[in-house]
Amino acid sequence: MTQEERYQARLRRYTTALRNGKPDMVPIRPFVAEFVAKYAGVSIQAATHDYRVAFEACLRCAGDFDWDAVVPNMIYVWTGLVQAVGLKYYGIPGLDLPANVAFQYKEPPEEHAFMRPDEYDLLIADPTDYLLNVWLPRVSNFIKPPSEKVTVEHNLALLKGGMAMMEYFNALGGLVQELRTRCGTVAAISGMLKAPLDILADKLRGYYGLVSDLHARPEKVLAACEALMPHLFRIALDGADPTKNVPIAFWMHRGCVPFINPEHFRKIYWPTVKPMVEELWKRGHQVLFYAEGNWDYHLEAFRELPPGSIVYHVDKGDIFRVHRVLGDRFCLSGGLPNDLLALGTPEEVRAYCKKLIDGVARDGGYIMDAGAIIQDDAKVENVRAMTEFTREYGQY
Amino acid sequence: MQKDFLVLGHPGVCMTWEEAKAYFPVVQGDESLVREIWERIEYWPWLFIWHILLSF
Repeated sequence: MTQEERYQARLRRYTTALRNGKPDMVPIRPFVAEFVAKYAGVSIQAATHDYRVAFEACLRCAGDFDWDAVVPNMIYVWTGLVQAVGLKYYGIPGLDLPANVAFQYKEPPEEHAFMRPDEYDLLIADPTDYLLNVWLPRVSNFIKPPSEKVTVEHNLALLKGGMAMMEYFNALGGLVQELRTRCGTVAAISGMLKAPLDILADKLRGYYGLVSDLHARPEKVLAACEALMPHLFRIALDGADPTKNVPIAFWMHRGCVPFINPEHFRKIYWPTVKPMVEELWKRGHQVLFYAEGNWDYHLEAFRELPPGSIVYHVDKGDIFRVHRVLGDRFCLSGGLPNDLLALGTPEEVRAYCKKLIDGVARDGGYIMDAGAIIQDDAKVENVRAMTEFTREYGQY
Repeated sequence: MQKDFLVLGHPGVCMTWEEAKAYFPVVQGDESLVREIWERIEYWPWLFIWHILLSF
């Protein structure tokens, strides 16, 4: 079999399952992150700070494991770019952190949030202007606001940051192509979507600030979410797979109960997510709900979406319950506990994979994966057990 | 009633052509061409700031 024939067979298998159909066997699509560095024998610093090292490690894994699809570089933050722009909210392996620790997010205390509570109107009036002229100078060690004198560091940070981003995105396109030609492996996702409310919590107000605002000024939070939507939608659409085969990844953070209450989900989170997903589906793009944590409380809301419009990925949720509620409408993925990959034995991994396949994959519409991204704590023999068992037992 | 998000704001550019025209009060040739190229290049700083927010 040529690599292209292997690629086409895997693409058929993967897309059949994505459409909630029954392929020839259960597809395998692990979201391997720092695991690729461990497997390739390189440091996390090297893979995070030099994306070329991460790409090679990703290709090596894709070549060695019989996986249908992988994310082209799940070590998604190139910290070389982060350092060039001087972003304050990352801990960089080998710089701020030991060389074998994965990059970390640093959320400032509420009183030092990157966006202040009285700045909602500025954000709502023109989100891009606010981000460029108020937010970016605050999150960068080098970039100055328009009211301050520019510096050499300011000029260089903008130039280097812009050029580096262009370099990185161009290189990602090359990795997608190499996955196909060298390994016969499909790039699992294309493009990204985030919820407006998550963005407010992640990078602007911080989680504690956002929760205060949901009670003190909910109308401003809603208006800010509405103002973010056109931009988030455009980013999602522009990064989407032009062939409409693979989904846009929707990274779900802290928009679920108990991080927010049911009313805030119903009145703010969901009304500012659902229309974007529906519009993407109208244009032929499926969205992968990467439900980090446990979103079981909201399954009935997700049922409101058109059949086939999403793929629902399960992390800490009860995948058997998810299958009962959503399985007739959407493909599911994940559900294999990450702690089992890290702390369990190959026998335990095989037993859990059997439970998953028996419980949710018998009629198709399931893709094998861990619950969350696979980092360097996963044992190689356990990832191998997941792969080999699914291939043997997951035949239809 | 929720606003139609597809008609809100100006995603894809930092400075719209309408704002930019203040710097180019007279366009002697084809303004639509000038506008098209302006917006095409404006896309890059817009993409940069939104990906810094979303991806980095």
